[in-house]
Amino acid sequence: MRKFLEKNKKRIIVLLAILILIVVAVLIYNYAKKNKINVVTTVNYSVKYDDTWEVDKQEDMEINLIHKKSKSSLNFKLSELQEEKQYSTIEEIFDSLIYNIQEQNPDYKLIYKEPAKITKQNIDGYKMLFETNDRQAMISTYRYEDKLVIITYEATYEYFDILIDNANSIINNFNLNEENFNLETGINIETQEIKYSEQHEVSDLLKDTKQEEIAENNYLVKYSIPSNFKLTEYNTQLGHYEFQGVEDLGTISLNTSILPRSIFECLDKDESKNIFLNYNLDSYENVEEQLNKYEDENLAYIYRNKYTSNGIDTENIELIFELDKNHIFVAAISAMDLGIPKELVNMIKINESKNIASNIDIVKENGYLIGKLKKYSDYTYENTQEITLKLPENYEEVDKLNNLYAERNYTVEYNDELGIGKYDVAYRLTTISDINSEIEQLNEEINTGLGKFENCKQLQDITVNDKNFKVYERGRTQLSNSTDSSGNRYKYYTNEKILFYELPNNNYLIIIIGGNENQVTEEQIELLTNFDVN
Amino acid sequence: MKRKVIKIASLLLSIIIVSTHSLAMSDKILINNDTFKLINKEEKIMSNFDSKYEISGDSYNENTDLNTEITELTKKTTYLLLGQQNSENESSESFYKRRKDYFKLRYAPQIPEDSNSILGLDMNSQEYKDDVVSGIAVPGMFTKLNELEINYTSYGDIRVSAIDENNVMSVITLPDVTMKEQDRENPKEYTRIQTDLTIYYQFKKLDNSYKLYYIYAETNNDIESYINDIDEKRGELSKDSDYNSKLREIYDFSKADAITDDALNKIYNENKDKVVFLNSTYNMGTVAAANGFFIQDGIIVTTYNYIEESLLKAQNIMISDSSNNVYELDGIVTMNQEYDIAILKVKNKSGNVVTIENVGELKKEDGIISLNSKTGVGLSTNKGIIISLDNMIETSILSVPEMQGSLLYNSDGKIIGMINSKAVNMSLSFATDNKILKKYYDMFANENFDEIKAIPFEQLKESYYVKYNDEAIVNNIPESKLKKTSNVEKATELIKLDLIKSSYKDNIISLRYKNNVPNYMDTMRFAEEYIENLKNNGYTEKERSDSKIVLKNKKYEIIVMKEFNYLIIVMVGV
Repeated sequence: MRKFLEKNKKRIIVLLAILILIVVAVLIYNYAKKNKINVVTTVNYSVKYDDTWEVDKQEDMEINLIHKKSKSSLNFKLSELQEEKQYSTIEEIFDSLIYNIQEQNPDYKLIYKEPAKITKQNIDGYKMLFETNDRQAMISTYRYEDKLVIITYEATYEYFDILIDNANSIINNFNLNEENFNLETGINIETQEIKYSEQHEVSDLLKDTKQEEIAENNYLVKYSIPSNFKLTEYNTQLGHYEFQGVEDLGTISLNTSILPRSIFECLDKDESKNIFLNYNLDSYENVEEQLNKYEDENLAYIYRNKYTSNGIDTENIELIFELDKNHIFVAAISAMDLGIPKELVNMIKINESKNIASNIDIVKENGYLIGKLKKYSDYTYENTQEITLKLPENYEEVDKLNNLYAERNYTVEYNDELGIGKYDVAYRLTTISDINSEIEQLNEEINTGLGKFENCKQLQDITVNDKNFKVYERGRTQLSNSTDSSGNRYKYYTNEKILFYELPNNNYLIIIIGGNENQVTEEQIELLTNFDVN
Repeated sequence: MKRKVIKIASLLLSIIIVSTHSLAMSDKILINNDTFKLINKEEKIMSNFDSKYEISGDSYNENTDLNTEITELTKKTTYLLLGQQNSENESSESFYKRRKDYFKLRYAPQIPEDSNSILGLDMNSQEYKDDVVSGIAVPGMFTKLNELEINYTSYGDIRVSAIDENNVMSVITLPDVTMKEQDRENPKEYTRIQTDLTIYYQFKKLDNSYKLYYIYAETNNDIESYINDIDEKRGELSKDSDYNSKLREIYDFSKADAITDDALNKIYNENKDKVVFLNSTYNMGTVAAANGFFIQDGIIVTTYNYIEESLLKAQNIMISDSSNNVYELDGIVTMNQEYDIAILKVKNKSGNVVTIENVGELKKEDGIISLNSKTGVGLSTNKGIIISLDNMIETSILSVPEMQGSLLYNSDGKIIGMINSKAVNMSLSFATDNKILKKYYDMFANENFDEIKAIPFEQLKESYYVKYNDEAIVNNIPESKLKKTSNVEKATELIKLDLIKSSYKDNIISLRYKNNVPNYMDTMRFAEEYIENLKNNGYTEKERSDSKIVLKNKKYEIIVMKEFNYLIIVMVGV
């Protein structure tokens, strides 16, 4: 034997090595096979399951899986909700379901019923546990849009707990397909490749980007644009820019905005606010038009048109980014006598977007609430007028929609129930140099249909905080945002003092101080005229 | 030949084995298309009761078809306005489709043309004015409410009232919604609040169908904070400082203000033993509560809505009065959904019965008093006025769910109605009037108590709602396997819960323990000591979530998880 071993030592080692390799290969194969994930996808759903299960029945509205060894079953059944019950609550629907299950299965005793989050999407539903004398059934049920889903995992006592973790992971990965909605079928719009213009005079100027931000309609968006674009108006709500360096050839402007609109509303020609209505292309010549899906992390579309009007070539490109299902960010580029190259478009990107309750930052310094106003003081976009407001700390900023560079609004001693503050104050940085025309505007602001009012009336000029003001007063009935129990908005009367302060550039800062059911005192005027002209 | 016999014998044996096995195994649970059918439970429930207790009279819903139509339209409008319940996962496509469908509900009449006007339309016509109103309110509220990301779970109560031939108003209360609200401290950010949301719809007839003309919504934070401040005490009357009704700005409250403390005390003293608190519980926790009163000895009146909610959610109903007397529920005698009334029978009589007599004609702005319990501990009174007498009595007394079934008195202390569930968590309430109550009062005055048939609560619940059962206890792990695994690594010793099921199959052991106090203690906490012990004995944690932990050593893998109220331990590799 020893001789044999010694003689065949090499062969034996080789054989052993091969044997080990075979064993390892078999083990790896089995392991891989055991962990193999199968996917079934139909028009309505997709299911992922491991190799310990097999498909027993598969239809559009149902799939039944059987555990190979234990013959336990996992069944997914879908049903379209009856039309008259589409608007029933989850509770009403599940109440009927449980009743029917119990009626149809008298041998199955209900052990538990509890609200639960079902599948990875955490959809609200119910989980129930039934048992007979030898088996248990766990039923998970939920509603997704117009479909009702019942998932039944059933096994004998012996296997139920052993397999429940496995069954749960399959249930978790069950997905109902969202109904397909494409532009063609959904809103009857066709997409096609965008035909970008070549314009090397513009492309050659593009180097880097800068970050800008706007906030409007409860969204704040920070976005990148080519740094060649110069801001032409200080506005926290909208972005207005002009492309620098091509003035001899033509113009390219960029406008950015945030709209409370579904992206599909924007593309749907049946809607009154669709993107196509921005351009009356029927009246122009050489018209081209394309719409296509735009590459972005989120849903986005790109729209381009080009036409000739009075001998001038015009090109427009709009990028529409979805912020959420009811908000979009639009970057609209418009060029005259110039093309808009692809490189320029590709440099416009959203860096960050956030749903915000308001665009207000509370900044407090030395016991004052600080607010800043900012405006170009001429049309060269070179000189800027800035004002730092210093209000008493107990005032709070109320606006969220206004252009905070141009106007800021504050209130004090706000009554939540009535929706009215004791005093309101508005600061408006204007480009007006003619007070009379502004007074006409201020009179037009009065809603005379609400009740008592007084048009603007000039008072004696005053000097407060070392500043001279022209002073007017007006009175008006206003509506609160709060309603009484009958749903009527509260009415209240506001006495207002309107102060005009002339700035070094001959424009005016207007301060409107309102006393709601209240008179504006000299003390209030003194407190609210504390500002620095920067 | 011998071989053939053996073959036949084996075949027979396998048939016997298979058929015996089939006999022992029950059929699989049946889920088919019938399972999805939605049922009308009310009709089925009502068929149980003695028909002689049905009452007829002036219908509250004179036009039942209209009521049904508007109720369904209200549900549909709410669904399209807010999306389906807890619709955080709504896709952009679904949102857009919902928005389009909602806009189709808007009242948009054909406006007469006028070539002289800027728009080419007759801007002085009623159609134009109506179009402007609905054109602002209907889309405006859609944008506003969807911005708030409202999550709701149920529709609550829907009240329909006809304004005139062409206009109908409906009010829907969505209880316990969550929504975004600006954070006062950090105005850029949102917080989420929980509140009740009431939405008022006005529908206008256009070409024989009702369209949405106007809509507004309000939350009920004020009422919640008022209720939180209530301090009822057993055995004494709490004369609450009345809810500061905003209706005071519209109506004359002088008759309510004239009601003296003496009048309140008189009502309390005469009625305190005749009214009861009903508390419906599930797993020891309250799931619904209401007031009720003895209309005859041993016969209690409360609301249909409360009993329906209890059948849906509760295991039982506990009844007591302000002196802490407890009444055992015998069953439900009858129910009337339209008048929101349920009549219950208790096993122990008390001899206390309210007096319901004819009262004179009620008038708008008459002073009224509600004697109720909002906490189920003691009684309190609220003063108010009658706002309207359109079918039901509409009052300025606020409504919270617990107050349903409480009595309403005039300033002379006579019963004029019972607060029902038609308004909940609102600054007003509705009451089923005295005439309906008196019909039941007279009916049961002539009945022999012992002959009044009552259907047990459990029977109705089991027949039409959820039938809970005790589960079978089945433990079948061979002793040798328990020994081999040191009792599944001491699980039987360290887990202080009842073992309900255990099994051994395919080298896997499973243990299922039941947590009897799930409302007070998370099930996974019962496994903490066991998991600690596993770790001390060489097991390492491979996976962890709130509901599952997987641990492993060289020999075994142990999964500890919770499902329903169970703690399940699975040991692989035995």
